[in-house]
Amino acid sequence: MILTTLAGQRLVQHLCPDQTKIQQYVLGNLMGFGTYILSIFVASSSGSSLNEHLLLILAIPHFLLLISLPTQKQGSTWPPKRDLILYLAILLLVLISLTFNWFWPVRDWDALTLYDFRAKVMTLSQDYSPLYGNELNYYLAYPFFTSFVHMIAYIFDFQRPAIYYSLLYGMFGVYLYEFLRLKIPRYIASITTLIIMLTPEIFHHSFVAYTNLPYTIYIVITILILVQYQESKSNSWTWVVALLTAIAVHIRYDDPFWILPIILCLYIVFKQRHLYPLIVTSGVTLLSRLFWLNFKKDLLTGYGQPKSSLDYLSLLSTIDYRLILIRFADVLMFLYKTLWTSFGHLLTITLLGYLYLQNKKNRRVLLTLYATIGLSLLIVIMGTFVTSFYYSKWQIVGGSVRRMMMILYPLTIITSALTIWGKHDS
Amino acid sequence: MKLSKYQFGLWLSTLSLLIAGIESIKYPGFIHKHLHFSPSLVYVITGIAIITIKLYPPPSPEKMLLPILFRYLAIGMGVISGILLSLEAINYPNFVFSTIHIHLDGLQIMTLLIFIYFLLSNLKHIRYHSLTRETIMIVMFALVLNFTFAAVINDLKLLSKEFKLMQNAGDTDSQKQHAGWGDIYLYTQLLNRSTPHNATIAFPPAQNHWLYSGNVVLMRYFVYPRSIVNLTETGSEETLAQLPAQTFDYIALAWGESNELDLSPYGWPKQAVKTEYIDYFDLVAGTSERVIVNQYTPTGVDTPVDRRWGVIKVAN
Repeated sequence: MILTTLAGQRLVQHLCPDQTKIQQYVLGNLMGFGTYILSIFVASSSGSSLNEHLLLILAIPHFLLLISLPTQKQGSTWPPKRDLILYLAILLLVLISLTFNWFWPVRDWDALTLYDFRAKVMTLSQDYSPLYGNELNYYLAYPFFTSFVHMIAYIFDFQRPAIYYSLLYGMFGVYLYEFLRLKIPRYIASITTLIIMLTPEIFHHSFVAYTNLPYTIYIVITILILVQYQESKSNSWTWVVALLTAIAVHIRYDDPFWILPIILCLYIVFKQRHLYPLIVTSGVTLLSRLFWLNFKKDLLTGYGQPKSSLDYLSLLSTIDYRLILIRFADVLMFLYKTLWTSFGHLLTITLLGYLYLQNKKNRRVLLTLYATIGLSLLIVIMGTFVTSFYYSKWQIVGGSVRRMMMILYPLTIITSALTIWGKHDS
Repeated sequence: MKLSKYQFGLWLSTLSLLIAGIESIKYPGFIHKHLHFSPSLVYVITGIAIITIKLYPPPSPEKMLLPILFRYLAIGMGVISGILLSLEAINYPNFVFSTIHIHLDGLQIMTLLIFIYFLLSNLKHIRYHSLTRETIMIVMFALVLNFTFAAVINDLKLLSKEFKLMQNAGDTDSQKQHAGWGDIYLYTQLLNRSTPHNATIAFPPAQNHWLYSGNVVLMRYFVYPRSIVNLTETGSEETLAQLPAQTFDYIALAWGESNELDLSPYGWPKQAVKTEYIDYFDLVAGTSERVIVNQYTPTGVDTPVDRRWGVIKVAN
């Protein structure tokens, strides 16, 4: 993990040289370790055995990257010493999370039966074949990303893979603070960061081995980078966004928020007449999605359980159009009941912030964040609406919808803080 | 006269707030049930009226009692809502309604309406903008405070629960899993001791009363690399009476995990099976006892406690 992080940091130095040192290390881990995990997936799906030799061989490209890219000495900065208090607070939260992840083996339901089970199978048998069976559809419900993380731990005889989530949680807090402290007063940035880290859903997921927190972290940081660089004349940051989105797709394939970076790149095309970000981000993301989709389809077909692709035309022909409005109202009511208790405060704050913003100048960057929040809500409304026509139990998955919307916590809180205290510079 | 135009908006907004106030004391839906019209319609019409004809006339908002009153009402309602929401978060759901008979959802609707009407009317008056912005900031601050307070309370409750579970720091992972999953975990460990790694074990279908022992993905986690076969759950007793069609060399002897007083549904398998032996498990002592017998016959409610869990080695 250290090697891939260092290699990733060296790459980020070249692609986004104005990120602070800490941001570079965080992005370095997300990109470096993330691409390392993806390379394990690529190698194993090509037939390689999942063992320590493969893990060591796959680290070689990162090592070569580390030694071939020169260090950039200028530009990035370490945080000032007066920020030590905030970092100590983040460390305390991480230590609490680590305590639980160190004490308990993997314990929550899907964490045990899906993500960790796949890891144990892959560790013992060095391939996926024991997963083939009547439950193959269940075992392929999510890509293998976090299972590979667990597998790496088990291969090297480390029985506490869940500390990955604590470390990710800490890195997230640190990145958010670094992002905010350059834009708003330091004490506001500290409070905002701590509020996000103390959000119960986020804090709790730091010691639950689910994919929601890693996915949230990847998507939110991707959006923040896009917002930060949307008016930049350079294009090198695009590869960071593209890779982070591609990795996020391999954490949770079915969650729809991979489309947000692409839509934001589309906006950049209109504003800046820059096609490059859109081409790179959408190309890399769609390639990543295709890879998992084909892999899953091949496995299911090979085992005789082809996943029938949804015939949307037949589905359309079965819909009674008089009921569409009623169904839409049902969906809105379901989402209100599911999401309002968790997000009602924050959405109200966001709405008020948007009204507050109306008289401010230089608010283009912030409007992007507001648009992202609005788009996220629109995506979940339309996604639930479409799903309601082919999944009869759509109204009992409220918990999953709530976890899926975890990206709203940091986005709304950051947006509100930037609205009130930000300088609204591009 | 221009005043009557503003009075119309004022009366409409007062009516809306009265309706919302009634529903916060009773419950959301009260007006629709007893007066057969939807309050939402009144709220929306009021909002449109405020946008088109404004709540109070310009200029000199500082001298107008009405916008100032409105502002303090908005802030006051926000603060009260925040306090009550915090009390609810600290205590239990429905605490506020059961104590002071105020329905929090209704109160929040009422508070929201006050702000919306206030904002809508002020946004149309340029000179009211600073007043509006200050109020927005105060409200945002109040909501952030409330959110943070509730978050910290919930985190502390979570930490308290988690630290209580960590009482025995010296426990092994197996003991920790037992503490988390209960006796069903101990059952799987005894099963692992009694069967070889390449065993294929028949389990009951995942229906009441075998929701854990019949859950293939859960059982597989604990007994892997052994294979598991079972029938797909249907909820019917006919499914429970059958054994899987696939080949297996062991059958899980599973009494069932529920705690119902009526013991008649318990016990699986429900048909006689030719056996080489049966290992009976004592889930309290964590031991097993092998009994050489050439047939397993289910005995239903008459099954002794020490013969309810185990594994059957099927005869070839």
